[in-house]
This record gives sequence, C-alpha cells and structure tokens, in this order.
Amino acid sequence: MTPNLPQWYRIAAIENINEDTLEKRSLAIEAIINGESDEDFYFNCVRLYLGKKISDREFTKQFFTAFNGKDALYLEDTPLLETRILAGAIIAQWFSDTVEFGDKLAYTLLCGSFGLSDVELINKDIITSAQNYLRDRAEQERISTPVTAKIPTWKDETPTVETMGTYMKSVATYVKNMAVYNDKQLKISQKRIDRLQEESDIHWWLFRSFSNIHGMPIAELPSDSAPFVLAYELIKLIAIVPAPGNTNSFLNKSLKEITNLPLNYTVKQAAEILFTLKTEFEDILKNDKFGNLTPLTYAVCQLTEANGDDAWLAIFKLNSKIDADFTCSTQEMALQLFNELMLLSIQ
Amino acid sequence: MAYCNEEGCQVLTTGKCVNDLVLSECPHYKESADEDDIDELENEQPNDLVDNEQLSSGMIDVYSGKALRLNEVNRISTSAISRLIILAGMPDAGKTTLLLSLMHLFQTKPEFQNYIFAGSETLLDFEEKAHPSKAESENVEENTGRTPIGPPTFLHLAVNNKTSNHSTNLIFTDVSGELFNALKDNTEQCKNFTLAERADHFVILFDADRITTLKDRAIAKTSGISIIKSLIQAGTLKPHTRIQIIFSRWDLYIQKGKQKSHDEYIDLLKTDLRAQIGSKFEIEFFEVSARPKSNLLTFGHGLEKVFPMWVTQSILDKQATISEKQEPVSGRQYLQYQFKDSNNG
Repeated sequence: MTPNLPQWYRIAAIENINEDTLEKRSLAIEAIINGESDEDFYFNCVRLYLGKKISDREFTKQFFTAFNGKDALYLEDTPLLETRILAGAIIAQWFSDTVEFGDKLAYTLLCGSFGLSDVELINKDIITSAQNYLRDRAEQERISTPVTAKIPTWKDETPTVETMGTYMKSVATYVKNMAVYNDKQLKISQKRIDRLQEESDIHWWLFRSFSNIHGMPIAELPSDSAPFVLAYELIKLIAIVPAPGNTNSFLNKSLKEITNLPLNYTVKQAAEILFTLKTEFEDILKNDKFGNLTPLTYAVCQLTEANGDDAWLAIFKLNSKIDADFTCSTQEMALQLFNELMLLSIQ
Repeated sequence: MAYCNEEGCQVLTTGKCVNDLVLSECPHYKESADEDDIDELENEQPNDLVDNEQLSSGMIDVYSGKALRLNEVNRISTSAISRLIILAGMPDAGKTTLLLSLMHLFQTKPEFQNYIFAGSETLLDFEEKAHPSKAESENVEENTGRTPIGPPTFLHLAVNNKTSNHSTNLIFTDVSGELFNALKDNTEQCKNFTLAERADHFVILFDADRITTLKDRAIAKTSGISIIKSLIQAGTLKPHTRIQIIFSRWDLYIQKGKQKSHDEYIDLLKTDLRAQIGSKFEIEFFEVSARPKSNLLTFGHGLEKVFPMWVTQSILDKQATISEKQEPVSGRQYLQYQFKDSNNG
C-alpha cells in the first residue's frame, strides 16, 4: 500500500476509510505509475492536487477510469477533496518510484503552489517532498565522478592464419569498448566542465555585481524591475538542471545591492513589469506551455492577450485560483520567476 | 453499437467489465446488437422512461437538518476541507451550550471575528437544541436539554472569512457527557473512539463553577485529565491534534468569592496539565462564559479567542517538514552559500 495514503486520507475522512478501500486505491495508483500515462497526465494531477482548473476533459475520464477499474465503488461524482488527495498521492508515488521527468514535475508543484494559502493546500508534505527531491537531485547532478583509470585493455598477440578470425573479433570488441569508454569519459568531463562553468559564472556574477542584460552595475538597475532582471540573469548562468538548492541565497545577495528595492509585489504589478521586459527576456515569457501551473508566466500571457486591458484579471483568477492582488515579498517573487523560467527551460 | 445488459456494468463508459471478464468472453457484452437484442432493448426502454419521469417529477433531496451521523458526515469532509472539533467533557459541563452560543452569535451579529455565516446542514438540530433557552419555550430559566446517550452525532457550521472570502466547514461532535465518563480510565473504550485520530481540535470543558466547590473540584479536575490521558494512552489522540482546555461558566466562577484560592487551584491545574501532556501536545487554556447569567460578562465571552483557532488551525499544519539538511555530497563551496535577504537581517 502507498505508505502515507492513510495519513493523507485523514483530512477527508471523519469516519475512517476501511483498509480494503485504501488497498484498492493504492493498487490503482500503482497501476497508473506503471501504466503509459504521459507527462500531461501528471501535470494535470498537479493541477487537481492544488485545486486549479483543468481544461483537459480527457484527464477527468482517464483519472476516473483508473480508480474505477480497481474499485467499482469509486464513483464518477467522487467528491473533490478525495480526488485531490488521490492526485497528490499519485505525484508523491511518482517521486519515490521514478525519475523520468521528475524535475519538471517537482518544479510544476513548486511553481503551482505559489500564491495558494495554507487553508487551500492539503497534505503539504507532498510539496515538501518535491522540494527535497529537487535539492537532492541538484546535489547529485553536481557530483564530479572521478575519471576512471580503467581503460579497456588490449592483448596484442600476433595473429596467425588460424587465429585471424578470433583476432579480428577481439579487435572489434576492443574498439567497441574503447568507444563506450570515450563516450563515458566525454560525458563525465562535460559534466565537470558544466559544473565548473556554472560555478565560475555564478561567482563572477555574484561578486562582480554587474548586470549583463543592462550593461550596468546591479546597484544601478531600476529598482522596480531589478528582481525580475536578476532572476533572468541567474537562470542564464545555470548549466545543470535542477538549479542549486540555495538559489534564493544568490538572489538575496544580488537584491541587497539594489537601492530603494520595493518590499513587496502583487502578482498584477509583477505581470505588468514582466510585460514590459518581454523582449529583453527573449520572449521566453510567451511560452504558455504549463498554463496555470506557472502563474507569473500565465499572467503575462493573459495580459498580452488582453492587450494590456485589466480584463485579464478575472480570467487569471478563475484559472489559476490566485488573486492578482496576492502580495508577496520581493525575494519570493524573484524566486518564483526564477523557478518558472527554470521549468520552462527544461527540455 | 456496443451494449451490455449486466446490471451495474459501466463498460461503455469505463471500458472495464464489472465482473472483470475479458470483453470478448463476457456473455452480457455485445459489440453489435442483433435483432433479438434490439427487441429486448426496446422493450426495456419504457421502464427507463418511467424512471426518468419519476426523477423529473420535481422531487429533490433536501437535508433533514438534523444532526449528522458518522456515515453522513463523510459527505461533507470528502468534498471540502473541514475542521473536526471534538467537544469533550463530563455531563453538564456546557458542551452543547457553547456550541449553541456560537451559532447564536452568527445569527444575531453581522459578523463574528471577521467571519460570516456560510451555511449549515444541521440548522434544524441547532434550532431544536436552542429552543429551551429561548423565550418561545416559556421556560423560566434559559436551559439546554441533555444530549441523549448514543452514538456520536455531528453538527455542521460553515463560515466565510470576510477578507479572504474563503469558506471553512466546521464539524462539531455532539456527544453526551456520559460517553466521556465511560472513556475516562478505560483505555479499551478509548481505542474505539477513533474520531479523536482525525480531530483538528480536542476541546475539553472544565466546569469552573464546580472547581470552586471544595467537594467537587478534585473530581472535576481528575475526570477531565483522565479523559485526555486515557485517549493519549490508547493512541487515538495524536500530537497533530490541538488541545484546548475551556473553563466554562466563567461568569459563575468570578462571582464566587475567595478568588485567590480558586485562581491558585486553576493555575495548579494548568501547570499539572502542561507538565503531563504539554511536551507532546499544543495545549491552550480559555475562560468561557457561553451564556452568562449576569451582566458581568458579554454573551459568548471567551468564544472570540477560541473560535478563530478552530477555523484557522488544522491537523494539516504539522504535516510539512523539510527533511534534515544532510552534508552536501558534492562539497562545492558555492552550493553552501547562505546570503540572507535584507529583511531577515
């Protein structure tokens, strides 16, 4: 059985859910994980878990079929909170069983939960597990594997006419092994170079305190747009996915340089500033691939579509479940943009 | 056109046979209906039409308005985030009165602590329980009837935060004091009281009026503590549940005289409780006078402090814990930089 399922179900069940039902739900979750559901199914699970609007009608059908297949008593009109719990359980199980597109899934969870209040979020340990997952993966990806000294050996024996066949086979095997070895070495070296490149770039950026986009010292950046410019500049320096777990620390260091930095931003203010920065950001904010899971990007897209008219606010709230007046600290806003850009940059 | 004549089978919508059979082997499933089957289907149609007629005859299920049973309350809890508040205490401690006063505050004020009334599925029960305390009952004294002994029932109240416009369901237990009398010192009984595992708040009422009488105060103290301790020992009351100790009938307490000695006794009780369970449980104390008999205190005195906690705090608060930061495996210095933002100093 999914280990934490009884604990996650607790919030929904005044009367304890019986073990048989939980077992069937667990089997359905396992079947989904081992099945052939695509990325979009899991992204929709994130939306369902966070209580955001899902526009894909097929997903609802697919979700229902998966659970009803294991338990005929699982009905189509199963209440929302229960389905949210199950969607959360699917995501958590994915992190523990699989690594495929795990980075994307973890980032969608982090980005999507932005702006939601504590009373709206359920089973927050699932979001925490996504944070832990990214932190651990970021460290794992930055480990430099030592270059192995064990190269394929070549036993050179002068062939005779009788042993020529065997000799040629051993030559072929050697060449094949050597190619694999070289390929591996190349990847290890490239990873090491990437990490060193990232490390030196971040160091240079942090301690030189110079904005590459604006071509001026960070301290002289316009204070309103500085958090967003810095988030974008930092994303350009990240060579390995996921980003280091202490990214917020890098942003804080640079933000400290800005004089008259606003204390807070609303989502609306942030969207309007980003709207003006679109071209400087090489149109990355036009990418609406993740929709309401990347609220800032989604807000910019809605604002663009509405041609700057405030009509976008209602649609934004309806779909993202976040009020455009939602306010958070400058640091949080910069980190949110960073995370969204990170998610958008993952292939 | 595919069809299945097995009762309850949803193969056409789910693609899955109710009997778990491969579709080609299922005797009830047909890919295309032959003439006989079509005849059968056509014969069945009038029955379906009758059902539809019955459905469209204007009959709508409505809530009975009575207290909810355990099997009914899950309907609310599975549809939206709800807070379960267990009101515990010995008989006549004022559990139901507390609840009725809270409801009365919502009925008579435009808002209470920035919350407005957002509905209840048990309005009739609230009204029935409140009746003996109202003028229409022609009772000489305001009164609350005794909660009948029996399985736990629940009262529902939904409130809406005026600022965030967010609604929360509050589900209160309506359990007779006799049940809690049976629970104290009986770990076996406590193990069956599984409701406590889900409780967001466990509210135990101490009758402050009884605490001021030398004869009863020892019993009033030990019985309350025993309920909590027995539930903790049975493992049904878990640390994610917040415990609130309410000293009820505070209006009678403050009029008793010899205040200093009573205050000392209550302080002793608080210290005792903190020492026994305070290390594992979040425990808070409140003085409440739900329906004061004098004008010394306002109606629902003390509820303004405890009520917001019921709405805002839940068992979910203690779920998220970021795993301990382990030693960085890569050991790279730049991955360990911790620059704090200027607001945090």
